[in-house]
Amino acid sequence: MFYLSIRQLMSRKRQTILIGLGITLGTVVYITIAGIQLGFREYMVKNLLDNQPHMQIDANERDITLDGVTQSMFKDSEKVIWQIPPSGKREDNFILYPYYWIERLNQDPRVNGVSRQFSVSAIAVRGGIQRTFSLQGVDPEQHVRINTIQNDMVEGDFLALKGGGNRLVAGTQFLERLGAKVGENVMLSIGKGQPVPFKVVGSFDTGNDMDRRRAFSNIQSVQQLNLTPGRIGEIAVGLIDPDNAVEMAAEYSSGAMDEVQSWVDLNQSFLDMFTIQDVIRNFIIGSILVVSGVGIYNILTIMISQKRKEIAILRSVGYNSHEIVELFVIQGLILGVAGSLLGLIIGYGICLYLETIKLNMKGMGTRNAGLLISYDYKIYLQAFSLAFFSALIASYLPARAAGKLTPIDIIRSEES
Amino acid sequence: MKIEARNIIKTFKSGLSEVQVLKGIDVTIQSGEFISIVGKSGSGKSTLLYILSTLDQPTSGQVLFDGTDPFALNEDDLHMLRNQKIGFVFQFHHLLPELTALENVLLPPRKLNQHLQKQDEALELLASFGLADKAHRLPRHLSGGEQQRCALARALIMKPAILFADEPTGNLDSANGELVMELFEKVNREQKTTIVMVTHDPDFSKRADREVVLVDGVLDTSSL
Ligand SMILES: Nc1ncnc2c1ncn2[C@@H]1O[C@H](COP(=O)(O)OP(=O)(O)OP(=O)(O)O)[C@@H](O)[C@H]1O
Ligand SMILES: [Mg+2]
Repeated sequence: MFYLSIRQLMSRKRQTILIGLGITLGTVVYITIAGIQLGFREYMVKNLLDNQPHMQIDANERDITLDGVTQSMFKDSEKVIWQIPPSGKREDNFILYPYYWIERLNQDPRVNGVSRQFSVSAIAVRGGIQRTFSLQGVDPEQHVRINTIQNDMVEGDFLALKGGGNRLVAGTQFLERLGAKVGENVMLSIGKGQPVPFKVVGSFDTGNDMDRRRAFSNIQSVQQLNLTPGRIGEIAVGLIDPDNAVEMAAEYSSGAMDEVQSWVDLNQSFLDMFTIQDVIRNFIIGSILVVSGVGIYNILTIMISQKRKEIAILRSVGYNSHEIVELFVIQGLILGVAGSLLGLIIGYGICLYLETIKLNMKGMGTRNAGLLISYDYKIYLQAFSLAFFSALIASYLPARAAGKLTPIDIIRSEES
Repeated sequence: MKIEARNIIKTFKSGLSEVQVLKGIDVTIQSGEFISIVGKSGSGKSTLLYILSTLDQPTSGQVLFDGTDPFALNEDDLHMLRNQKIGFVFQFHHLLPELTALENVLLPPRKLNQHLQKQDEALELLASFGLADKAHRLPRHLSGGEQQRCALARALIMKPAILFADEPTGNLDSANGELVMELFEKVNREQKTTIVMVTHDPDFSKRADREVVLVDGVLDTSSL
């Protein structure tokens, strides 16, 4: 039947090319849109994973409770009525038993690195210039395991923070704003206690705007500056496979006093944007499928009604109804396969071209000059199978109807 | 192949009423016999031919091919019977328009993947039908008579035991009709193919071994 299918397609070249091109167009659109969307997504997620812990343990915020305050201030001795009841958050928001977590995490084979963190907002003073910034205290050796900061170093080595001693690694833009250079000292204060000199031992540029007001130091130095030795704000965890994060966060959360969040939780609203993108993409795919499916369906239906006589001949010389179904389904599939293969190639070409277009995307924190395109083989597989299955269904339905016709039905209706 | 029809009745529903087109036909066609069916338009000739040739089922009654009822066969065997034992020629020389004359002739063996072995035979057959130089033409480049001869060649390529024809000369001028008729006679004589032919042409009808006359759905017994 393959042979006859080809012959029938060849004898209707214009129709064949038209449907084929419809399928090609659909495939091209799918590949381009998916390539752009997923390329952007891959880039953003990679950015996220490079700059953020895969999993983070924070102290749960503790509310001030009415009973708690009453109890501590008045004991049980008096009956207290508050005119304005006390409420709010406790200031001391820190992890109470960090070593429980660290020990447990260090024993977990899925964990790549565990860094204690303690951040404060600080004021840097140099000459007459003052800049507020976020001073992030980390475990330097662990931090470079779970973060790509080491690749972004412009001067110095991040590991120079090892061993404390009031050293600072700062964003290049931050240093510029402050008018400071690597190797110099800057005075840091946090609004209480005396300003303390920190030596700038390195600078980095991650391409992110946050670098304008960000610097790292050893956690011990930050704890001392803040006059809270031993205090840990959060524990940052790097995983060997970031895809395990959600599952592990759930595992570590159960029964914990502190809050364990995966990078997915931490960036929920950001990731929600991808869901919207998915909806849009699926909508487009759906439309393409419907349009090309209906196209194939219509044309085959018309063609089959024009081919009734021939179906009758084939049936009368002994071809059975399966063979008739085959005859038309093969035609649909040839169109589907050829059209979508062509679409894959053209779509790939368009993606390559789009990548060369220069875009100014600085604001998004990227240093990539072109559009970000994904060439994930799954996109191509999906595009192909979508085209293939829509062609299969669109040709099977009319073909099955043709297969059901008996020769005599056709001959009689042709006679009259 | 011997064909026996026993008490064939065929009714068609048209709207609420039923029309009985064949009203109990009994006929036996001997192996190698050339029989013609004649009768007025609407008398049921085509209906009878389709039933005799397995394309249609009778409302009641039975057709036996060498004693077996084709409708008792399973689907595959029925299709094989049509493919190998039965040839058809219709009034409107039905050829597939996208295939050449030769490819059309090779359609039945193609079902069994025997089209390559049968190729020489098909060319010979076409040549003997005066189509030697037209084997590679598409049907639309053939005249009506040539198309009908090509359709006949297709009906004969599997060397069927029996050939059914519904007004095979109906659409042809007398010269072409004569050509086709001579081919029928030749096949009947040389291959011993049983032929059942519906025709309106009294001259052609008389050249058959036996004429069966159909009058309003019953056989005119004087013709048997
Ligand atoms: N599917 C059908 N439904 C209803 N009536 C039918 C059907 N097929 C045939 N008939 C009727 O059966 C009768 C016999 O038809 P048939 O085609 O067998 O006649 P015929 O002898 O071959 O005529 P012609 O010489 O014109 O070909 C006609 O009256 C026709 O209208
Ligand atoms: Mg008729």
